[in-house]
Amino acid sequence: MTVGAGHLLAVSATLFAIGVFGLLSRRSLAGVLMALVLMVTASSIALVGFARFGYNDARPLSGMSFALLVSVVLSAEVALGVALVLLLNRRRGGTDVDDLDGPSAAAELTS
Amino acid sequence: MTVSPAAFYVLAALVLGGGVLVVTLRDLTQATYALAGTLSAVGLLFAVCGAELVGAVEVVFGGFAVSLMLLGGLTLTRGRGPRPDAAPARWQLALLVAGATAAGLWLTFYASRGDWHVAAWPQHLVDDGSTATLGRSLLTQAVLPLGVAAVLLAVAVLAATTLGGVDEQERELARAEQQRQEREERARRRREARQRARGRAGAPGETEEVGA
Repeated sequence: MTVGAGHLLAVSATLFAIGVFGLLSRRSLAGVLMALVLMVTASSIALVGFARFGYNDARPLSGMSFALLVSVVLSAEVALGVALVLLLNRRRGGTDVDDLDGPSAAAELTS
Repeated sequence: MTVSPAAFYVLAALVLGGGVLVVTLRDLTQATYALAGTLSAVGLLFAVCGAELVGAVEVVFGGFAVSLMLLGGLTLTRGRGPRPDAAPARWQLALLVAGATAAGLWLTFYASRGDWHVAAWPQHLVDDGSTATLGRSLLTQAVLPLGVAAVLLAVAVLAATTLGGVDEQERELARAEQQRQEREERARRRREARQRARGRAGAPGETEEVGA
């Protein structure tokens, strides 16, 4: 049985759904960040899958180029996310996302 | 070149199993280790599929850099974590939405499979690997997005440093807190000194009793 684009897309879709589960079930902001990382990585898998099994001479490996850029954006996102976790922890004494609803929390973080 | 099915299935199982661990482990430090393993497995999966450079970047950025940043953040916030247990209702809702998302994506991919542009992996990529071609593509067709990504990364690092740093107001609060603790410590010492002095004033009688 040969592996095709559909196999990579199935892994991508499943990993994305796992990330959605983590995003909704986690209470900690760091846990939410990890779930977001999984979701972004799932999109990279789909991009690499299409680049590998849909090679195009006019734009060779553009899906892989895009996956590289996605990795860079992911690193930037995590750096900012960790900084927000630290800020939240310092100002509110915890990183529970349930305590973050309402305008007062946003005002406290941006002040 | 075809992708080895055995390697693909083993790595896919590692990726999905690691992903499940990341979202279900209660200890966030262990979840971070699971995330590092998952992203490294994704990198290996890319390498097996012929994307060696993307795989290496995924292992270095995802497996090491992202996990190290998260571990650093967790270490600095240790002991102030959230309540450990999520309500069962929340888990059920999350499972429902995740299942619907998976089903929606699977159905979309299945329904659109006839529209995919499918082509064979060229022989020169089999012989030489994809790194040189990808590098040429990045520096010709994707040079503007590459520059934008570099600027974005620099801005994100600066913003993270600014957000993570302690500002003047917080420094003043910390100084005030330290002064309050010092005042309390001085008051406690004075109280203890007074108690000792009272104890010494009553001590001769006690000494006589002990001597008798």
